[in-house]
Amino acid sequence: MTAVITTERLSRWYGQVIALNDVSVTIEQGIVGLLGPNGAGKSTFLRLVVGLMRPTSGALRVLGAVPADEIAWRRRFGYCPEHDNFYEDMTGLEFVETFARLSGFAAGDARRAAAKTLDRVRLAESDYAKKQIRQYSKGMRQKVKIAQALVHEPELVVLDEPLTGADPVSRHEINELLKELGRAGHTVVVSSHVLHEVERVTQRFILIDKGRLLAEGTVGEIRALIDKHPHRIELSTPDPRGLAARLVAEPTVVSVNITESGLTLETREADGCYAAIGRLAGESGIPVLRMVSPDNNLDAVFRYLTRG
Amino acid sequence: MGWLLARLYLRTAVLRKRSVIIGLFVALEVLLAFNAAGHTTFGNLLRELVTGFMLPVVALVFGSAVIRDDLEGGTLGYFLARPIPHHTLLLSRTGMAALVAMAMGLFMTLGNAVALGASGSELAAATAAIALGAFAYTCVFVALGILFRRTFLAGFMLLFADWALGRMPMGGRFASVRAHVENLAGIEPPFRAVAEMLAPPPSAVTSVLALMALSGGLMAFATWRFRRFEFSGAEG
Amino acid sequence: MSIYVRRFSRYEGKLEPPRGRFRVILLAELRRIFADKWWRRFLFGAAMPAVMMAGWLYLMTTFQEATGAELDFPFFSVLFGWQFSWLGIMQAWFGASMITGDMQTKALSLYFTRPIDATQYLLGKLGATMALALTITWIPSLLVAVVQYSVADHLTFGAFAENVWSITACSMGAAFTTSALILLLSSTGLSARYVGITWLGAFVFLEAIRGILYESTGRSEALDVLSLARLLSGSVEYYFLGASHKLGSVITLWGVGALLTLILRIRLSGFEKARS
Repeated sequence: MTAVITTERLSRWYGQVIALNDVSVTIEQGIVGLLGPNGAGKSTFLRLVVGLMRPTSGALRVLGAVPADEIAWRRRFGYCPEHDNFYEDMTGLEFVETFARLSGFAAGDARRAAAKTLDRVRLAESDYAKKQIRQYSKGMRQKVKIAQALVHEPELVVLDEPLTGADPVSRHEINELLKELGRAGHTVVVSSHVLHEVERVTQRFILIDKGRLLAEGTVGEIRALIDKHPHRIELSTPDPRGLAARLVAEPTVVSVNITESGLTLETREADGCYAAIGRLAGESGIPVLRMVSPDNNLDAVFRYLTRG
Repeated sequence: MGWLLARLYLRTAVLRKRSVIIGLFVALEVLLAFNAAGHTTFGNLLRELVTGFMLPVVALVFGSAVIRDDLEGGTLGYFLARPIPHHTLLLSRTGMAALVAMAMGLFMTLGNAVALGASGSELAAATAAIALGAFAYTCVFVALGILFRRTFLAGFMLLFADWALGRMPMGGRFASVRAHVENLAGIEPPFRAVAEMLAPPPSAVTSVLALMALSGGLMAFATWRFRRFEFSGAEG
Repeated sequence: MSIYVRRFSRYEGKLEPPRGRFRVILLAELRRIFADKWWRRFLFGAAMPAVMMAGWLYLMTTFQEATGAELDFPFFSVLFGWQFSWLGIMQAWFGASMITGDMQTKALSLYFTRPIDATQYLLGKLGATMALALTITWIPSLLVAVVQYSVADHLTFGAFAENVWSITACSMGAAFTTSALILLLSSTGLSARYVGITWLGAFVFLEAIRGILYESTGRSEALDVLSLARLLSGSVEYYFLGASHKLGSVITLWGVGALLTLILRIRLSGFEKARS
């Protein structure tokens, strides 16, 4: 798969404050979640990607170009900023149409493309055609922002916190739209500090904190790299003591604790341990009613990476 | 593209409720001119209210809005993320801002001329001076808008400096934009000290060249600066 | 049925008297503006006339015999002319944002959810605006007065004290009335920059209207009431040029200030009631 965005030792300073520190990463086609707490450097990274800022040091190439230097190349991406800023007295249609025209569309084409894109982001025609943006709810405003980024059908879509402030229905609709974009072959980079929201859209992540790249890959891949924290697995079984006695003999298991509802074990080799549980349950005839891994999710991975 | 950007500027920065205040002041100036008939001259009123106040203020309002309004409102990011050359964005919007400032300045000039019975040559000179002055002041405030976050405060201070420079003796007043505009319009300075007579005003051609050099220089600088511009979100 | 048990304890410490709460607003505003680098730049510019005048005064006194220069120059009227110009710019920017900033950020409603009434809010804002105004009128003029007293041998302490009184009274009158007017404009809800432009426009156009009426109605000085610029210059003439017939300007200036403050108080009460 070809790289859409490549950065090499990318850094950006604001005066004496470092916002992005030595980030080397490669982003390929598909949907990628850019995750990190507030102030991690996500927005700075995205602004560098779309050329609104220049790196202080390091190299950045997006779709084969250096973003801040090449104006015509900007047709190939769409950017949805984090801030909630509009020309409030325009309708959603006028706003999106204006920016379609500024992307080079002829007048008639721009209007049609704007209406089509606003339909695509699931904004009702009665809202986008007649109401001024100042009358829109937060979710509707987010959709207009996304629509202006999509109206010219860009290859790369960069969305900075698109779910912030949206109600649950709007969140669901935006998430569905992101999946649809991914399926249609767009590369989507979506930033968020709400990890579980992005987990619904993609399994590929870039984690940053305090300007530094913490990890990249799928949750499983990232989790497997964290040696310091053993992987926890919770089991529900009618005979926790019997199953525990067999599990402690397994080389992949680090520790076993008996709890009220079953048992919790820790392992440094999750895949081997899952296989061992299945095998032992079969051999001993002790049923395993439920098996979950409380830290095999983005929240836990992120917690481990940021807090050590 | 340029025309589209200029029209968009007209809609988002000029045709707004807040421009009503400027419109009211312009109307008030013309109204005052009709009431001042018989008590003052065309040149005096033009100096006191138009070149001395309204023209630079109108240019400040519309010139500073060229970049600063969108920067403070956070909408500049939408433009900079489009395939629009920076100089096209800046120059088209500046052109429209200068046209608006000129239109207002010329409306006042014409109103004053009709009210106070200015001669054809007086009106012609004043028209040329106001048009060129509107352009020069607009360029000044566009450049300020790119250089300073607090454009209005910097603009107020610059207007004050322009006013103070405009009162310097011995031809020193020609360090101000205002003095060149008034010189072109053929308006007498507010005082005529002996020192002023010893240093006669420059020719009209010199004033035209001075204003054009200032405008051109500032726009070249503003364009160069704007090409290196970075957008990090709303500043308002 | 639910039983709610209070598990928190209220503040039991000493409560400041309600009448002094305006100080919180005043100090917060001053801290905010004094931390602004533009204010420092502005202050530097506004101090220049006084510094230059004090330097000139010192040089002229030191080399008077050699130069034969006359020292009966109307220092303070010229200085106040400059400082009032700076005052106009200061109010157009820093004063203009005092209330409109709170309205735009919705901080006004936050203030009125506290036990602070419109009077306390007004006192805080008026106090801060006046303090800024006095920083560029009263303090530089006092500096010149002190330099004058220390270098001019013939100036008695009585004359110095009289100068200090005139400087104080003139500065206070200007600071009070201009602050009341800019705060009233600031409470209109316009953005700060348009408040500033309206303020400057009011100065210029009221003076123009007065000028036209002055010419067309028999040159009556009573028309000074129409122009804030004229009231300020009349006040300077009264205090520093011995123009006793300008006492009317001084009284009118204070009267206009009081009237504007009253209107502003009523307007702020409206906001207070709307929030409650």
